[in-house]
Amino acid sequence: MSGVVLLHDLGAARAGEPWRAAAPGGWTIPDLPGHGTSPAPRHGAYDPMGPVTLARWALGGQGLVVGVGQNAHAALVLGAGGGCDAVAVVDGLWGPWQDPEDAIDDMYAGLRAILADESAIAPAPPSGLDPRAAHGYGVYVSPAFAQRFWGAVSCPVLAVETATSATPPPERAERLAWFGGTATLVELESPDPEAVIHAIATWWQAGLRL
Amino acid sequence: MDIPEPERAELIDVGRTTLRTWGWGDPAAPLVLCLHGAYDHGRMFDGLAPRIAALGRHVVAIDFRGHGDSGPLDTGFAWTLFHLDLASLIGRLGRGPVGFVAHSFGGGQATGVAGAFPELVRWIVNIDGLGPPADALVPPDRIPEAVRQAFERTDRALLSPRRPWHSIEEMAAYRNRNNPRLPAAWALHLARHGAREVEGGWVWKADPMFGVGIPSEFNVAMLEAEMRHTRCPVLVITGDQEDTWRELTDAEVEARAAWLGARHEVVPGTGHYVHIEDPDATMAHIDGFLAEVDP
Repeated sequence: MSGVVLLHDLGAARAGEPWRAAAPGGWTIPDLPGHGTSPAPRHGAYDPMGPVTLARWALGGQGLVVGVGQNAHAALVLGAGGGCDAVAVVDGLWGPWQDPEDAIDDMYAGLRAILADESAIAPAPPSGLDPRAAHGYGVYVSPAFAQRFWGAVSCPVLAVETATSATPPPERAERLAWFGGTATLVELESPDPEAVIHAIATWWQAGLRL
Repeated sequence: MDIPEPERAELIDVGRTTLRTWGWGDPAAPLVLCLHGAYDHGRMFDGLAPRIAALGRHVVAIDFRGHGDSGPLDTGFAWTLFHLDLASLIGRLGRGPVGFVAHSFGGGQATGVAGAFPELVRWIVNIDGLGPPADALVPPDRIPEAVRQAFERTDRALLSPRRPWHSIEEMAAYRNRNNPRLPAAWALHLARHGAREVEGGWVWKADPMFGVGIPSEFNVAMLEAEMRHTRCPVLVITGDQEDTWRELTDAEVEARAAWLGARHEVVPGTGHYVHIEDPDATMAHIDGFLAEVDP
């Protein structure tokens, strides 16, 4: 079985450390740029393409990519492009849907919050959590787009939903059905990395079936 | 054709990047920022900016990040990043609210800044910058293929050396093939200031990462919501000739001008580069607009 790369959430205060502590040997769990020991991207801002490229190069087209929180989207991009054999997303089925007006309002509110946060505009620190990362990617997805995009992910997908997920529980099964390949849902009481890693490793080692 | 040089050139630190600015007019006068289109640079306003300055304005044309002499990009997924750069620049210049004279991609940026930071924007002149047509704002039919192409473009941008051009003249000829309505002297001007000398020739200054992106959500409903946030006076100027990047139908142009609450003026006989193709008519519209909204 080939490699596993886990992309921790954007803005995670402890970066990949809690996941590395819980993961089996052989998993690749970097501190993403602007987190932990990794310096911020040279342009000082965040978008999913960085983690996508990192995971793509690390896996070389084979293996499992795990995306946590906002980086679930990065993992699914890799899956859509055929850059891996399987995808696991942790609290990654998006929150309640927004209409376009609310999405634009949120986007502008996010920009105002960044501009009001001097530490998010000042040069990024050389290590540790870049305050800019805490403001999120600001990516918006509509149900129609999610349906189209997830439908393009033909490899097996495991969705792990924990108590911290923003996805309304009654909607999870419907969203799962949008994936283009086999999709499995696991709901956990705890967001504890050990429990999450256990669910993912079990699925992966069992040939993608729980 | 004699294209004047800017009166001032600066590199301004906006915290997370550095922006190249080109200046004209009295720095104490009301500030007007000129915003260029995608893959262009601030020197495209060398003809128009001094004429706006002559109306009693301090005019600053910028190179967007990833363009000209400004800082690099790591991604093309950067639409709102440019909004923040502009808001930070206005803060650094300490002269808001500003007027925007914005072409193409720059017009979209002006709209975004006016929506997110209405207190920073006094008015907008939008020159053929009303966004892509509706059918370009839907996800591609074959998403896996589009994503793989994005991966390939990323790798090329990050890993492959850029092909040098033999001469500025060759780059200008390429530019003229893609924008056939541009006067040859302007194609040469834009190539000269849009190129950087490297070993073996010249490369475009525009960062290849600007063109990298994955299918993402931005649809006409969002564009409408964004445009309807605009509260300041807006003048939209378009041409009426077929041209590269002039892709909207007349109905789309009218609808989008209405979403902006804009006055719409057409400069007959021009294409996408209205202000370069007919600077006199463009200036007449700008002059009239400013006399009304910001005398």
